[in-house]
Amino acid sequence: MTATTQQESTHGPSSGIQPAATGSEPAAPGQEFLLEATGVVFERQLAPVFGCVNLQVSENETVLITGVNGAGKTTLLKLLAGILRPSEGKLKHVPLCFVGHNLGMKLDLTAAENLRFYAAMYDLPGRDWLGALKAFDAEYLADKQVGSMSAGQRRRVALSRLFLSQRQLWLLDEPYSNLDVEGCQQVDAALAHHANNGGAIILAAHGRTPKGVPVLRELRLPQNAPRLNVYDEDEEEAA
Amino acid sequence: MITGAWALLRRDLLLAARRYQEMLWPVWFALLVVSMFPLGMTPEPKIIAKIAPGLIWIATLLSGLLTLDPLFRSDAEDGTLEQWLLSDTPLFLLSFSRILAHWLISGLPLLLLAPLLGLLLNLETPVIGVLVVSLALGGPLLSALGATGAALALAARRSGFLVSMLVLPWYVPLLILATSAVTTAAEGLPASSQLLLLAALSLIGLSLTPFAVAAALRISLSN
Repeated sequence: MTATTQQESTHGPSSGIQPAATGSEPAAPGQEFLLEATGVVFERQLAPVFGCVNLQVSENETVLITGVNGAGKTTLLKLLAGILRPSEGKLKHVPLCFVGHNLGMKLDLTAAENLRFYAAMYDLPGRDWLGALKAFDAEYLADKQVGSMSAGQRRRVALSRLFLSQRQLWLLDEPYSNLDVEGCQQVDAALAHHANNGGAIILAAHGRTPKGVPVLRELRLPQNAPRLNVYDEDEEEAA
Repeated sequence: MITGAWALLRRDLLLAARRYQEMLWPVWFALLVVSMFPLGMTPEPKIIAKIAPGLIWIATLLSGLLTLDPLFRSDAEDGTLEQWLLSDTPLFLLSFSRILAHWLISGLPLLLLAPLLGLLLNLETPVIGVLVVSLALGGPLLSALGATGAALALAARRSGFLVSMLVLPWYVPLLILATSAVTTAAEGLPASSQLLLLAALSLIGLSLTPFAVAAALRISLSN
């Protein structure tokens, strides 16, 4: 039986989603946060996907969101990015750069064409997109159509949007997926560079922890997060 | 602000040029409908000239419908639409860009083809002129209304049917007005009042629908 009642779902995870701050100092009163979520709740089909989210992220901080498959890591990231609308609560953040599962790259265009488009979207026309590609060792892909790249190469191109955007806050969903060892190290180096230079990062990952970032907090989504489907799967199959 | 909207327009046109077969399909469809109709009805030139304005407008409208479902879908599926929300360009400007791109890609080729279709259906030259003007004024409104329907139906899967159900009632007044302009011209009367009304509707539509599209996209993405 996998049925989860709505009653359980409302109070179950609320304690689990409170960030377990490890090694971060409590913020001074009146300090400006790059991201501040207060009592944020997200509901799907009238059932909360996870409990109430309270999260503050300031400069030089990295928050790692972990949890099992289906715990709601991607949903939480999209919620914090402002793509999904919270049902309740307040969310404030500075402009951010989000690289999700769907990379936002057009397969029929080359890496350079895609990045030039994003430079304009970030209102930074003429920005050095080649330098951004170099950070992930992908400058040789500039004139290659994204459709003919491997999954890892596509991710490198998408990740280079981070440097292109010049945004202080980065939101990353599984940045290490599809990348080889070298690629993962480059992501680590990029994250460390950003977090050491006044930036902040919120990333969802399982399997790998970013290395070298100054303040790393872990936000663990509870295993018993309420399911989106509140009906019994076995019963549905039998029907 | 404008940079992002301009870049989106250029990117959409570039993508259309890379996939030009997809772009030509609606034009080909309209050409087929218009050229087959007389074969299925009557070869009598006077009757054909009488039904020609309505026929060309209906062909334009239906071929436009074919291109509505993918209007935002591919961007939604590959994550580009999420990036629209996070960009520095306001969403309504990006929506306006997309409407303009849709008209340039699917409306303009038909507008250019219209004189040929008019000749094919035995329309007189001054009437063809009015037909072209009506398509030039009404075409952008078709794209604007279509984009609103496509954005609203984005959250639903396989929304082609839903988009057409949503959009067709909005198209009806436009169709009546445009064909009435061309028919009036064919009778030798001035069609300026219908054309001016069409121009007014187009301007109102183009200035208001980008906001509606932006709101619909926000709702569709937040699901």
